[in-house]
Amino acid sequence: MTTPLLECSNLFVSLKGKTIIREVSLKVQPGEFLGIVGANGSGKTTLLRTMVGLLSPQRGEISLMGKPLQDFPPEILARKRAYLPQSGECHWPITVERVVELGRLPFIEPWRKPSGQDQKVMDDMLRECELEEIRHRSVDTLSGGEQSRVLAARALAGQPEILLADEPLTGLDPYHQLQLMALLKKMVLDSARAVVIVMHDLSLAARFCDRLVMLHGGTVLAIGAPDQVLTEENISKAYRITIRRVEHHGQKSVVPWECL
Amino acid sequence: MKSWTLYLILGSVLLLSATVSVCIGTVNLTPGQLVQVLLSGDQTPLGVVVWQLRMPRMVLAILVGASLAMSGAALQGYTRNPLADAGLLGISSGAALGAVCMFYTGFSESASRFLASFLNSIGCGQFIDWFGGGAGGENFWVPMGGLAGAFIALLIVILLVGPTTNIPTLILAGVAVSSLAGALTALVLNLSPNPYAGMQIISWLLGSLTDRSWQEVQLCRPFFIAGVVILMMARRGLLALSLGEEVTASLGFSLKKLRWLIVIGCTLLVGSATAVAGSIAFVGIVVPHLLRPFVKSDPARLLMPSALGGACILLWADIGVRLIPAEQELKLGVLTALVGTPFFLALLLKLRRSYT
Repeated sequence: MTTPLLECSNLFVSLKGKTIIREVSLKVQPGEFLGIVGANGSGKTTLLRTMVGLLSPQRGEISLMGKPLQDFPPEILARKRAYLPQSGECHWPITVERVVELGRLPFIEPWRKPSGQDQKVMDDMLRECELEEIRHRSVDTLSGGEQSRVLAARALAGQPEILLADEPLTGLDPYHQLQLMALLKKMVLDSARAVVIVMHDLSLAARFCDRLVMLHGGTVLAIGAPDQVLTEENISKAYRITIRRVEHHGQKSVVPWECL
Repeated sequence: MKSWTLYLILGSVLLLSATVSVCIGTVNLTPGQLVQVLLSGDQTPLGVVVWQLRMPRMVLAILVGASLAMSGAALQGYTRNPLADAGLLGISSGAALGAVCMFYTGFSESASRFLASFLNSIGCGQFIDWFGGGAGGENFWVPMGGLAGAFIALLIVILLVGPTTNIPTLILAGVAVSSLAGALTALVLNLSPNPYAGMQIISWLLGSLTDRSWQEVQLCRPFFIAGVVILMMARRGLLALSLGEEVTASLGFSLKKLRWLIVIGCTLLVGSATAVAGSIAFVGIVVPHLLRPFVKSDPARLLMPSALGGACILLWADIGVRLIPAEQELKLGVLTALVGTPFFLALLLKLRRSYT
């Protein structure tokens, strides 16, 4: 059996004295696209930030490629995993290509310029995210959707073993939502990399994710293939809504229908 | 604008400004005369004026201007606030208080006397001048007081901030220390033993490069070099901070290390600059603002151009102080404040236009 890329064992996470995550255990395998779903306040972002290493669990352990996360020097860890936060922000109106270059920063030696390899990866990422034409523009002149794509390109430019993304689809139109999901899926399929994505769109989650983790009140309500997780019972408990099932050419999806 | 083009322009302006600064004075020199004087050394009376008065003043203007502007650029990048400057950390107020205390207590005179007798007693009388043990005791001890004040302010800020890496906490601690140092400076003024001491303190607080010597340059230089190197070590972290603290941490930067690089680098630069030249406002805010469009707002690429730009601005302010006819000597800090205010008004109008 292959070593999981990322493994959380019996995690307990508290913020300001309040336990947000309890007893969460999960594994992310190489080449897996794992979605984390759940209602607002269910602990999705806290779990993701803990998996990134930004929060320390009160109990439990996280390991990356079989090694405890805290044993990695920060600069090595930065080469292996990338984080795309929920509230993507750029405080200065720097250029699109400079933002994407930030993703290569862990690979660029201090006092050196980006190498030819770094430049090639950045160019590829700008092309794949359809940002080539706006690469010299400053980020404050872009639409919200364009900014989200730039920030996603930054996270992907590091070619991480595992990408942890917190609601990266926010602010994107359906075309660019599908484009980003396809790009992430391609990244997973092309190599032994993995993506962990927090998302609210259940139909996209059902379509793109290999497995889903559904959180409720900081604990895992369900984990498994989208079909097994996105059941009426689970969704009504987690979200307090009813759903309608849709099937097209064997591809199953769910549509949120009514509040309970 | 390409980096090398910007460096070339700023470097040329700096060279020109430095030349003008040395040529201008009671006796004006042409560039040809200046070269002659420089080559002949300080053997002639004019040589003494150039080598012992104007050159240290010019070098000090470069060091002080570069220190203030580079610290301003670093702090604006770190706090991601375009209105931040070293005053925010309480460093300049601490340095001012330290220097003022030297005036008030008369420590410089007694310390110089004590040191002179001590050095004589151990047979090292030749080193007295190094420590300002002679008539120029103030030239050494007042800046030393300023440096001590800057580092005490830093120590208090460190203690107040504690282990958190939260930036507003750092700013709040800095503002608290700045207010305290300001209040204590006012108290010292209030309690000054005679009007002359009070005037001396006020005059120093207004900022000036008049009558400075190579001694101040020597005092400033190691802190300047260390401060510049430390801030340059923080440049990648400043760029990463553009995307927020969490992304910076995820990119492998230690937020604690980054904070101390910025705080210590700025303390070395601003502490030594204030210690030798007094309080000089606005350079730290204005220069990064003026140069930001030329580096596409990149906080990492802004540091060195700000240092060069700050040096140019302070050289011209110092030239202005000498050229503007006034009965009393116009103080450098007063001129930078007067020139800085219209800049803020222009910024305000621009901001108002963008919101209407």
